[in-house]
Amino acid sequence: MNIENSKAQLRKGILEFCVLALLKKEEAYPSDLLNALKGAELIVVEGTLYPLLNRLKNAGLLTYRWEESTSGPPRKYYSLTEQGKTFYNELANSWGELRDAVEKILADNKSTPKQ
Amino acid sequence: MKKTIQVNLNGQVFTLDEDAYERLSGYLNRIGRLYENSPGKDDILSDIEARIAELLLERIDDRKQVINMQDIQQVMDIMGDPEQFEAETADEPGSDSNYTYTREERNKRLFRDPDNPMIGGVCSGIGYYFGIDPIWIRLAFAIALIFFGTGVLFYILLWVVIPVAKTTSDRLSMKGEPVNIGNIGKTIEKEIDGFGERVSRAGDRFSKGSGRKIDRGIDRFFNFLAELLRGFFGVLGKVIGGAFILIGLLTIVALVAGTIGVADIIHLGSNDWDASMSIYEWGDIVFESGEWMFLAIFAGFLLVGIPFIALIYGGLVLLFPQARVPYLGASLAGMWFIGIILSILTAFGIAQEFSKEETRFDRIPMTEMGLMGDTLILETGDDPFNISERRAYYSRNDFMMKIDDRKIIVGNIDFTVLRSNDDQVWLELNRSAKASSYEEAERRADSIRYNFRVDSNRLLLNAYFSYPQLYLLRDQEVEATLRIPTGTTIYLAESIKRIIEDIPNVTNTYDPQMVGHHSRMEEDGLTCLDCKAIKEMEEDEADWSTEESTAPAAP
Repeated sequence: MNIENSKAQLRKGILEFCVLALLKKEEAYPSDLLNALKGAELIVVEGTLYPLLNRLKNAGLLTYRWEESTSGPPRKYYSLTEQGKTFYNELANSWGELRDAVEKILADNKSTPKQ
Repeated sequence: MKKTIQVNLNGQVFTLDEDAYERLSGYLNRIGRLYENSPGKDDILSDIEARIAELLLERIDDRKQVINMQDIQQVMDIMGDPEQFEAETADEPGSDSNYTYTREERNKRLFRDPDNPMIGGVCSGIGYYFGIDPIWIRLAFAIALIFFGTGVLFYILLWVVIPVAKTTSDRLSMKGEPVNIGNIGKTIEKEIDGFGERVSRAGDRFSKGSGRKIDRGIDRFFNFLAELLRGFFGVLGKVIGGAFILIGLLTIVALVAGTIGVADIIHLGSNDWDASMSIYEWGDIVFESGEWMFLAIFAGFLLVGIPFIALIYGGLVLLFPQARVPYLGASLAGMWFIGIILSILTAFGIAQEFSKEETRFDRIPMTEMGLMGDTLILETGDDPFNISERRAYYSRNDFMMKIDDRKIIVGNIDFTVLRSNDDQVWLELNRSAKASSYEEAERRADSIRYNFRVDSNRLLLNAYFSYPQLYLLRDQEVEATLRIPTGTTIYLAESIKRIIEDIPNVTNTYDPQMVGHHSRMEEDGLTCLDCKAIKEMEEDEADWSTEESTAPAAP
């Protein structure tokens, strides 16, 4: 069992959720998202993000608009659609439940340490 | 001094070293291939290009204006291997199945298979491409090797022209499996057993933590080794490439010239006679119909020509790597296989035409034809091929043929002398021909005309037979046998050498040495009456064993 592999599996599930969460807060262009995600070590290689954004956009959860930039060519700013917001809320609910469940298990672990 | 290339990434101009450019464009191509049939391909690519532009922008300033290999390598490390993209997201294989299906259909590409090679993985790769077991492809190559020999050359060419499946997505494309995370995962697991490059890449992929630096080191080392080899073979490759193109062009020109009959490729004849025929004239008398002939020429052209076209293409690719055309290698291979199949069909068709043989047998009473006398003199009559007496005996082995006035004239007759089973002199003529049916073979045999003349005690046998051209070349033969009763004396004139074919005799004397002498049919067989060789043999009987049949020529 490879620990890196398991970590990657853990990250995989929540990457989409985190992207939606970041965009729920405010619209962003990919480099902003990358900084946030890399800071949290949710992605290792940046190339991962673009196909994901494209998939979410095709699913109707995201949309984007072009914005002139002061320091270069125009940038693509992504934001959630109405459908995306609903989608996010549902995911956020199940994340809450999941987190509580996991926390509870971890807490039980601490209170009854193994030999 | 280094050559640089300017590129436009997301509306910004960058200046790249040539090698950096090659690396970057290769990288973008790989991403493009991965998303080839995805509806968002352009979006994904332009977003990735935009990000690369940002990252590159951080790496240049007023003092350093050119992007080098190292910059590109860093950017690629940040962006990651295209195969890793999908591996980090939770997209399940088959989640949108329509779209994976169309990919599966279209995304098949021809690669050499590095995992199941017999030699270079060419057959295995082709097998995947056409969805057949590679054993059949290998068999086809083996057949081509035995019968045509062009197989080897073609194999080497395909080896050069078809790229090896290097990456996981290459391997999946080769097998026509959808390039998605599930399949990539499966393939990677298989790959871990590999060595060298594959070990370092797999390591890179799986140990992102402490081991990463070491893996990078290994990766660098192999990259360096690869660059070194590429450099060495690069020069050699250009030379070989040039030679390929030259050989290919010359051969194609020769082939085309030969096929349209500019050159008389097939030259029959010797010092004595001459007949040059173009491939069409040959085709006319070999093939049943124009369609068959066209098919055969077409098949031959594919079979022989395609490898040389591939040779030119291979040379071009060696010289200019960007000349590689997608699917051209596969198309050439496909056409070549069609060539093999057509050739086999034509060969079967022709073989069919030779499968049945019929013989017409005629027995002509020679006394009634006026042949009489104490000694029968046997001579060769008319010979349209004008073979000189000196060469007559040896030229019998040459196939002599010409076309005259819509008639095919063949200058090969097998003549022998045997004992008659009664007291008459007979000339037996066996005229035979082949065809696809006995009826047709019989018609052909029947159409053969063979003539001889009798002049009191002289029998003049013509050195040729003829038949209408419409009956084609179907192994027509004429055997003439003179049957003489015991006690008959014959004289074999010098000219008979032209048609003589193994006359059995008691002393087993070599045929041409019986010529110019008298022989008599005795109880135990034909006996030479005045051969010097025999006298000598009798004299030297103590020394010579009886098996020593061919006596040395008289001094």
